[in-house]
Amino acid sequence: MKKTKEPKTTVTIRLNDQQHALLQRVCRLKNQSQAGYLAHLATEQAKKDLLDYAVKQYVAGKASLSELVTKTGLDITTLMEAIAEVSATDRAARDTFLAAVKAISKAHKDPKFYEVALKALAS
Amino acid sequence: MVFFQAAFDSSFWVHACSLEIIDFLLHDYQLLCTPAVEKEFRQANPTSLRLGALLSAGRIQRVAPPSVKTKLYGEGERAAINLALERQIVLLIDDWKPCQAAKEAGVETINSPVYLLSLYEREHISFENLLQALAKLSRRGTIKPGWIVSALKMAAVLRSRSPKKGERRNEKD
Repeated sequence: MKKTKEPKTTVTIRLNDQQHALLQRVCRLKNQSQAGYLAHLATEQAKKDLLDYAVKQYVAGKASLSELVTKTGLDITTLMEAIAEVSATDRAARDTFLAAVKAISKAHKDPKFYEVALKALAS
Repeated sequence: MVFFQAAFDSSFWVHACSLEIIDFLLHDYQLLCTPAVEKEFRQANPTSLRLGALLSAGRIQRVAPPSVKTKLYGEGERAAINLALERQIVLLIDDWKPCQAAKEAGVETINSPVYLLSLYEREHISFENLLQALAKLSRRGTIKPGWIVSALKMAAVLRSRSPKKGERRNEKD
């Protein structure tokens, strides 16, 4: 069966001698065409930059998830998982949760509430 | 038996999959999905595949795009809000900003912490499961922290009012 060719767009870039020498060297070592190398590099970086932009916008409260998906063309699950990864390193959410359960547990005279919440947070 | 129809947005679906509460949702609601919400799941992963499988099996109903009413936010959220408005049904939504817009437009909304509370109240999940789910949502950072705190307060009230669950009574024994 004949393979159909994917339509492609040409993007021209201009490099100085030093930049071009660098590109030639790495492509020779990787046994890759300069166009292929640059296309791969650019698309991977663009994906990272779009995700980074969307996560920062969401965390700063500047846009909704769906708005960012519409704007960046990202997949919603990918975006939400990326936000979750950033959030996992932030202690603020954990501290807010702990402070809340501590206060609620005290107000309801229910020490077990705090105990269960601590276990839940650790799981 | 299904009692109510509900529209949902993609943020709610991602959380529901992560919390493993899809079967409860399918039992409680006839879920309606707009093409714009479906379109936001662009990559094949367990979350999108689950939605795709349920749509194909007819367990979730694919509905035509609603006529435009609100013009706010992203395409998926806008379509879900408009569907809820058009059919006067509940909207399951976890993203705070569009949720506010939906409420202002007169839509009845349910977020995942509230749905989890209803599962606990109906004894479908234990108190430990409820707190684990709320802690998980809190860690994800994709839900308003105030909603988690409100759910925790409500959980304490429900727990104190439900000695029939045997939890607090047993602790005193």
